[in-house]
Amino acid sequence: MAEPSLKASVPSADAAVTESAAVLATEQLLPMYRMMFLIRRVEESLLELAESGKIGGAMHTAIGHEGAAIGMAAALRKDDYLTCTYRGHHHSLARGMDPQRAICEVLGKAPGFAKGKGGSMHFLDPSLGLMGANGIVGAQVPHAAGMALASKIRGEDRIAITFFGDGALYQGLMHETFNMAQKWKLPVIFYCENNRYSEMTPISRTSSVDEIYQFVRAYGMESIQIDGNDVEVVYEAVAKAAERARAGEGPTFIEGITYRLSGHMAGDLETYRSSEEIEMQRAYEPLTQLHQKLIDRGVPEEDLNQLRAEVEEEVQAAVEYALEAPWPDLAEAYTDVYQV
Amino acid sequence: MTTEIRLPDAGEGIDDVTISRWRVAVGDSVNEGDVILEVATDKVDTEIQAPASGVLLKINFQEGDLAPVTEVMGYIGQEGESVNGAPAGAAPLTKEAATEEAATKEAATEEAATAEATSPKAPAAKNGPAPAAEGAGAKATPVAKRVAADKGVDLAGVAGTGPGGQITKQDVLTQAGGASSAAVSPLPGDLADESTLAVRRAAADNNINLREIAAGRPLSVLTQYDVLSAVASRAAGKRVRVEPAYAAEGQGTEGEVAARPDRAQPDTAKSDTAKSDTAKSDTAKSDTARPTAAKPEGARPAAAQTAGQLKPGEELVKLSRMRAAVARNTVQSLFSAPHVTTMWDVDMSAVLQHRAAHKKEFAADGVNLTITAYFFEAIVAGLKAVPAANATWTDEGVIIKRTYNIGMATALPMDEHGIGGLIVPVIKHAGDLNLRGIARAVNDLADRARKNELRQEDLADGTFTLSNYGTSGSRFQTPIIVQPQVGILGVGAVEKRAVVVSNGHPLEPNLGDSLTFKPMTTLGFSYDHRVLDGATADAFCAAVKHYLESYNA
Amino acid sequence: MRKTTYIQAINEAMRDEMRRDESVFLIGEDIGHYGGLFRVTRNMMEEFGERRVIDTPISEQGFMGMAVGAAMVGLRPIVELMYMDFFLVCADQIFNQAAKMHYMTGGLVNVPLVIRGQQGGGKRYGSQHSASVESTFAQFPGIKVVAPATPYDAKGLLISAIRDDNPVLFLEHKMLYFTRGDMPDAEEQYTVPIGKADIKREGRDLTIATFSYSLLQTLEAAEELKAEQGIDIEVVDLRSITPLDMESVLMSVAKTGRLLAVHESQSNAGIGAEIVARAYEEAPYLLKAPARRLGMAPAPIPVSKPLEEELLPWKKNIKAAVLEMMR
Repeated sequence: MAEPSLKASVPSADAAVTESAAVLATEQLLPMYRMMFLIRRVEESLLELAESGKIGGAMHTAIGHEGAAIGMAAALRKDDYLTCTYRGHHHSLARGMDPQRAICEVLGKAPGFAKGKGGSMHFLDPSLGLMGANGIVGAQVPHAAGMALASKIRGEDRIAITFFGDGALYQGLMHETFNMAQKWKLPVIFYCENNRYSEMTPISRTSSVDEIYQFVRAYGMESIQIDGNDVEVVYEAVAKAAERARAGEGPTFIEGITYRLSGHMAGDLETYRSSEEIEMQRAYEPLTQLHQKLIDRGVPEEDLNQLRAEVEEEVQAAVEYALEAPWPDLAEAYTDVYQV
Repeated sequence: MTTEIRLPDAGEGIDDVTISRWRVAVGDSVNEGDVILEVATDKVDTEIQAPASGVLLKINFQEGDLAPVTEVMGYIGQEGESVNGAPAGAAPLTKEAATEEAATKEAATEEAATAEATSPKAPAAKNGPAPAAEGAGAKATPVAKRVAADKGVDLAGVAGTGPGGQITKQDVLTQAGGASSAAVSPLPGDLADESTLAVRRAAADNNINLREIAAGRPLSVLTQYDVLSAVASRAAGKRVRVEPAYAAEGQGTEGEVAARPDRAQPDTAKSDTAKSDTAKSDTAKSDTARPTAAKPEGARPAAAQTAGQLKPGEELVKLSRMRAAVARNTVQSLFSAPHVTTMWDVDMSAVLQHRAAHKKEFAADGVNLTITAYFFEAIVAGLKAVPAANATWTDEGVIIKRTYNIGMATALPMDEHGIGGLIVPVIKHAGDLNLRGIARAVNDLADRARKNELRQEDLADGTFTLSNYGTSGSRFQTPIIVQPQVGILGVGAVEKRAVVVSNGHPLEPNLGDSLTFKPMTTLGFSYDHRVLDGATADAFCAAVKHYLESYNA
Repeated sequence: MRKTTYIQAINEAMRDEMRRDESVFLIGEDIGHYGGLFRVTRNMMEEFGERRVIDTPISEQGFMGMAVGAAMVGLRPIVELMYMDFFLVCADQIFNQAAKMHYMTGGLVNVPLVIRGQQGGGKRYGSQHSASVESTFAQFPGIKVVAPATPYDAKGLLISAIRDDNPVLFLEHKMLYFTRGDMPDAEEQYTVPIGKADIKREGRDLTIATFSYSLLQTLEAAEELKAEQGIDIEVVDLRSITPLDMESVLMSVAKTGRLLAVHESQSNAGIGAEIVARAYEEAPYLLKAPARRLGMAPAPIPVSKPLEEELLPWKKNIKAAVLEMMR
């Protein structure tokens, strides 16, 4: 088996989409850049908080994955369902979750969207169609299929998208779900963020299949491999898959090649890869790419600086707010076990 | 801008305290939390901490003074600051001082305005009135100002909830971080605001927010019953909140209770004990500590007093005929018959179970099934087992009686002097009656006794007597025999008691032993030792006990 | 008053609710065209069509997960597990997902899901098709568990389960399917509340708390003990395992002073142990004799009929336990 490509996030498949025409206008890209920088800064701040011991448990950042979330958010409707993995801060923020409440939730503070009971691995906001990040690898995938089934039963045109990593593909229920989704032509998009590592182990060491987008071909499902770091490529692929889903043509599998610049989780020793590998990937990561794209289109650097300064301030304020925010009342420990 | 020194709630029944010692003098600097004052109450000595940092401006009570708990003990503020306008250390406000206060207030405002106009960052003028805070002359406590500086809160934007709209530390914290739970969370070590495990389990099962149903009270007051009540009210579409079953004495609104988490320190009892141990070495202090409520040391008459020698404050209540009769009969009985009382515990489970099962059925027939009725049945059983207990002593011999006319000692209401009456109507031929008949007879006699409609024949021909003093709450008395009978059975209150149940050896520890709660009563059987002995009297009691414990009619 | 079978009662409950509420749908293996392995979903596909009665591949994890997802967005799926033993195949979706979802989301998401199917021994299905699972489920807050024993309770409780906004495990028993019981006319609407026990036999000497098929065994044992020994047993049908109606159990124990909990799931660390423990925690002084529990002996269920009956907490074992307690 070949070692993972260190060269770039460039897919090589027969079904690859690598080059994007300028599908989005610069005015559309600017807020995407702003959001992407915000996600990046929120996650970097969270890592700092984790290092200082203010965040317990497992926290997984998606630094380097933002392209998938930003492209998806632009391509889907607000009422489309989304489920994702415990590495899900970026999807939720991209769909409009308040960073302040998000950070509170990670810290276990009362103003968190789930009153501090869910935390980093369970980002969710039904009002934004965010139906839950999941702590169990792959468990969120049948949920999205079930939501798509609900749309079908109700005769609605809401679709569902689910994000998972390359590691999830080796869970049995993924294949059960692929089969049923294809068989019943469910309006669902399976988006695989292939960052080349199942937690700490390169998939080349565990997978019997080189090109994982080929897995679902066995079920007769439409499948495509794309550059997941290019927001325009992601946008186009997701938009097209959504169109198919809404038209009743069934699910689409998208393999978005990306790279995780941070460790698997806060505190990951990262002994499984070299710092050269990470440095090399920095040239292709989504924020660098989008920045370059805007510069190429003639956006002045000062405008972007201004944008980043604003975001910096917003994130700082959110972190401070969260640090000062109260803990949940102890009585909350006993509520929400059952709905009455 | 001064902070009042007040006492924490000393608990129920404490109205005032004695000032034991001021640890600081007027003019001394204090830090928030320093112990500045010791006070003593009837129950406990307490140390009072400075509520704020600053200078002790004034004290309202000197050492040795008796101070009402609600009063302000003194004031802390900034050096040179006035207390409500009065000069530091001054006597309580007089009319003149009040006028002066108004003037000073104006001056302070003016000065503050000037200070702001010239240099907002100018340090506060020493010995002058405290300047208003930065911004629009917001009034804030020094602690609030410090916290505001720490947290970067602009006082101008803070709404004050303190006296006269003053901004408190809490206000600043609230502004800084939403409703800060840290600020309202109980003191460390305060366990009172925690409910039991069972309550918390019930809350989780039913999605009940305990804080909500506690409605400001500490969570420790909640019971499983409260949680279930809340579920029931929610099911009925009502507000999910449980009213306290009873309000604690002297308790204001419920909110107030929650706002003073430090009442009754956990070590109150300990310090109380310590206090009495050291009382001797500390007599002087201890004496001043206790408000001298004169205890009436009733002078006991040394010898029998006659009515003709009434002293001031004494009153003669003439004997009623009943009182005279009771006196005559009891004296005569006690001095003629040698009384011995034996005491037996009885498990009333079977009787109570039978009563619970049949009460309605009896009620349908207009009969109130009382526990007393069962005792009559049991007495008959005892008398049949030991016939000598249903008898009369004569010098020629013991007259054994084959009819069971059992008297029921009945108390009549006491008058304003606490003098009551005693009457003993008799259930005739109790041995021929079943439970229903006895219950009916008991109802009838009790009813007529209350209405004062008993006839002479209702009181005659008793052969034995039951005294149910348990109805007035007592567990055990030594009743006096009604002459010429030989026994009287007293029955104490039926109450749940801890009882050892042994399924193994009765005296040696073994696995089958367990402790259980049972409804128990204690019999007090007084007998005439001329007729009955300890063993025969116990045989009677054993029969009564057996009858009651195996009740299964 | 008519009589129906247990199967018919469940079928009626689902049919009535599907007619009443468009959001209810059925999903599981062999439930549509075939009508269910035990014919519980018979005629459902004919009436409600393939859109609301969904035959799945043998993919317990997958369809359980999809049911959870559909429930999260407001549908009310009823999932049939052919044998309750199969819950272990899709345990993550039940326990980590459905049961924890409401809490993890701070109450933002409900999972109004019903999982139903049959369990228990007595039909010689052997170790992997006869287990009783209520005790395992009782370990997980967030999912309610009901196990009715009579057709009347089955219909009323299933309707309550479908209308409940939480995941509910509805446990049937293969030995109950063809039992018959009184049932109000089909038009008469009623429900049986979740979390409320029912006294199925009054007595004064000993309380047996039980549910599901064990209830029938207990009632038989009680009649025989009365006739043979004069022991008068009160039988509390718990009907719900979570939440547990301890109040009714303890009210009965207050009367009898003795408590025996009987169930088909494992005795060790089972729901009976919980009932007994809670009796000791909450009302130790009501007990005249040590409370006991009688569950399945610590062994998988064998196929051989005498071995199966030896291990199960059926009449013979119930009577033996009662006699030991009354000694």
